[in-house]
Order: sequence, then structure tokens, then C-alpha cells
Amino acid sequence: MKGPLIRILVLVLAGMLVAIMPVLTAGAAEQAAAAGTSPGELQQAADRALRAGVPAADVEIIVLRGRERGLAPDRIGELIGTVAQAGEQGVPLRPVLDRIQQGLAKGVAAERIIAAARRLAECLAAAGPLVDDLAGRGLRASSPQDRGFAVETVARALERPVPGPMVTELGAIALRHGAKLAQFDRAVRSLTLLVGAGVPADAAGRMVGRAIGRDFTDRDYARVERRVTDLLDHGAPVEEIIGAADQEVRSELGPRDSRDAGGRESGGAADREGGGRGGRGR
Amino acid sequence: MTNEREIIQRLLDGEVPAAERDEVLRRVLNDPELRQEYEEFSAALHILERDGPQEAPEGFTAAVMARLPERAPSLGDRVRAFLFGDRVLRWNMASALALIALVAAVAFLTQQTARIPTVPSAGGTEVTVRLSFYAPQARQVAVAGDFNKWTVGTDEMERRDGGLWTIDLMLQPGRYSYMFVLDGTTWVADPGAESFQDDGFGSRNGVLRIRT
Repeated sequence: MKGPLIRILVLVLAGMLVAIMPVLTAGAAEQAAAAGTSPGELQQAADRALRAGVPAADVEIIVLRGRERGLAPDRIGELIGTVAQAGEQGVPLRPVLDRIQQGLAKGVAAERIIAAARRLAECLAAAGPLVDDLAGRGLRASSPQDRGFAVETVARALERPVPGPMVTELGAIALRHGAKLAQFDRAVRSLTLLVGAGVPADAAGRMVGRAIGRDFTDRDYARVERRVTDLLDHGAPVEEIIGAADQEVRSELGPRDSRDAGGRESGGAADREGGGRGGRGR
Repeated sequence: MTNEREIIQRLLDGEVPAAERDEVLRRVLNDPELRQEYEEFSAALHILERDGPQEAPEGFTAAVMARLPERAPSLGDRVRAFLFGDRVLRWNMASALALIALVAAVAFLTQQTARIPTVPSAGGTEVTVRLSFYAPQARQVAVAGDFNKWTVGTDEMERRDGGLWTIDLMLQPGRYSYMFVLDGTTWVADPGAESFQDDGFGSRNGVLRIRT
């Protein structure tokens, strides 16, 4: 009697162990399998992504969010394959992952997400050497994060598209004025916003180059950007946007008088919190 | 003395020439000490010749080995023994159950942890950031951004008087993109954001930068 009981107990325990094995192996691969594909595409894409260094938690988010959106498994596999490819090419993964996860959260069509993520990955690949070249020529980073931020910023500029030589030229202007990588980064962000608002790249490049020459701070750039976005939101024509932005950059009273100490980024949220539309405070 | 013992040895082994044998034997027998030794050896020899080779008593080899000085194993031997030495795993049902319970607990915790969106560590101390948004018509407002991997619903804002929604976020120094989500469906950029960034899909995200 004792023998059969022990055998049954051992079998039950073995069954329990088999049941929890998928959890032990890889949550992402498990989610991929659960998405309903045959032993193929999605799970292979998940495995490939994990091998390329994509964190399992991020793969899992894409799978779960894709399923919530009702995407076909092969579509989810394509999304994961896009980020896996970026990882294999040594492209910074976080911005690509961020775009995919963001697109899924916002309900963007899978085709658009894939196209946008691939484009960003290509631009990130091009931006890395460009930033490294500027850093090699003396554009110094103030913190370990600066390079990563600059690569992402330049990639977003190239996406608009801002021509690569224009970015390099802005870097050269920054070098001549003793600016650091973070200041160059900030200038390129403004350039991207201007181009995105419809300002021709040449004109936007000249404006931002002038701003670097005038030693603009975060707050100065933010003021120009706010003026541009306000006009954009009100449907102003491009000529008006160009004129307003140029006026802000050339303003004799603006930048110098509104600059805060040490180039700290603007806040002002607390002012808006009570009566404004939104804001930030610390 | 050593020389005389050698003589006894040769005498017993029959190696003394016959011409000298009587003389040598007489000398041995005249010396009481040598005589006793000679007789003991002769008796032992006699027993051996009579009974043949004897088996060693049980435990003899072990006793001899135990008396040998131990040789310290080299580092290589120790490493080899550690890595490749045979081991016997002794188990019982209680320890097996405990191990299974431990594995199940670790698996459960791992799964739970993987479901919590995390922010890539940027180093430095976390700071509290308050975001606010005026939306009196909204029934629910949340913030989603790269700090929570654009998860809608994990960071819900709290409604204050007059339709102002606020939330305090704990964030490390870094640069973050975010949007407000009204009633779980409508995405809105923070009009009070420090700056804006194209989201790649035709909208603008608010950008929040926290410096060290």
C-alpha cells in the first residue's frame, strides 16, 4: 500500500513541476506561444529578440499589448522582429522599443508602427557615428547619459528629415562656441521641432545656428518652441511661424533677460498649476 | 652490534661458508644477547617454513595506510575533485517537496516582477515630480510615458477641486516623454510641458527633463 502511494505522490509532484516549467524558462517566450501561433514565427521572433539583448519584460509588453489590440500573431512577430533586428545591428534598443510600445498603447495601426520603428532604427544607426565624430572633435559630454540622449535626438532630427550635414554643421558651430554635447542636443531638438512645424530645414538650421551663437539656454529654446507650437496649434501659415521664430531668436530682450542660472531647464509648472491648463512642479 | 646481527642473518640464510660456520655459531651461542636473538629468529624461521605464507590480519593494510603521513593534495587536485568528483545526492520526500515549493515561489515572484513596468535606471536619486492637468469634463485621467512604458492605467491622476487632475511621480534624473490619457481613450499632450517632441505618429509628446 505504501509503495503505490509514494509512486502517485511522485507523479503528482512531477506533474506540478512540468506545469511550472514554462514560467521558469522564459515569460516572453511563453507569452509568444500563448498568442496562438504555430511553433513558428512569433516564438521565433521572441527568441531572436531575447538573443539580441531585448529585455524579456519588453517583449512581453509588446506581445500582451498586441494581443489586447487584436493584432494577428504574425504582426506581433513583425514588431518584435523589428526590435530584434535593431539589437542585432547594435542600434540603441530603448528608443525603438519605446516607439513600438507607445504606438501600441496609442492604438496606431501595426503597419505604421513597424514602418516608424524601422525608420527610427535606421536613423539611430546613422546618428551614432555622427555624434561620436563630434565628440571626438571636442564636443564634451557632461554626464554618461548625454551621448545616448544626443544619439536619439540626432536620429529624430534625421527622421524629419533634417540633412545629416546640417546636423554636423550645427555641431561645428557648437564647438566654436565652446558648447557641450547637452547644449548641442538641445539645439537639435529645437531644430527638429521647427522642421516638424513646416519651417524649411535651411531656414531652421540658420535660426538654430544663431541661437547656439547667442548661447541659448534650455529656457530660451523652450520659449521659441512654445511660440512655434502655439502658432502651429492655431493653424498659422508657415511664413508666420518662420517670422515669429526668427524674431524670438533675434530678440535682444528675450534670451538674456529670461535666462535662469546655470542653464537649468525651465519649469514654471507651479505657476500654471492653479489657473493654467496643465503643468509640472517639483 | 649491527655487524653481529648481519652475521646472524647470514647464518640463518645459510650464507656463512661451512669452514667458518662452527666458529661463528659458537660465538653467537656464547653471547647471551646474541643467542636469544638467534633463537627467536630461528623459531620464527621454523614457523614460516612449516606453515607457509600467512595472510595478513583483517585491517592490516588500513592500519598501515593510516600510519603513513598524509600527502597534501595540490590545488589542481582539489579543483579537479571539486568539479569532477562523484557526488551522491541523498534526498527524501520532505526535501523534494521543499525544493518544489521554493522553485514554484521563485517562478511566481519572477512572473509578477516581469509584469511591473520599470524605468531604465539612469543613476541618481529619485525625485518627486508633480504633473497637473485641467480637465473638468474628464471622468478619469492617467499619465502614460516612457517611464511606465506607456502603460495606461498604472499612473492614474487624482481629481482635485475645480477639475484639476494631479499626480506625483517618483522619477530618476533623465529625460522623459509623456501624454495624458483622458477616460482611457483620448491622448492629450501636456499643454504645460517644458518642451515637446514628435512622437513619430503625427502627434507631440510632452518632454520632461529631470537634472541631477
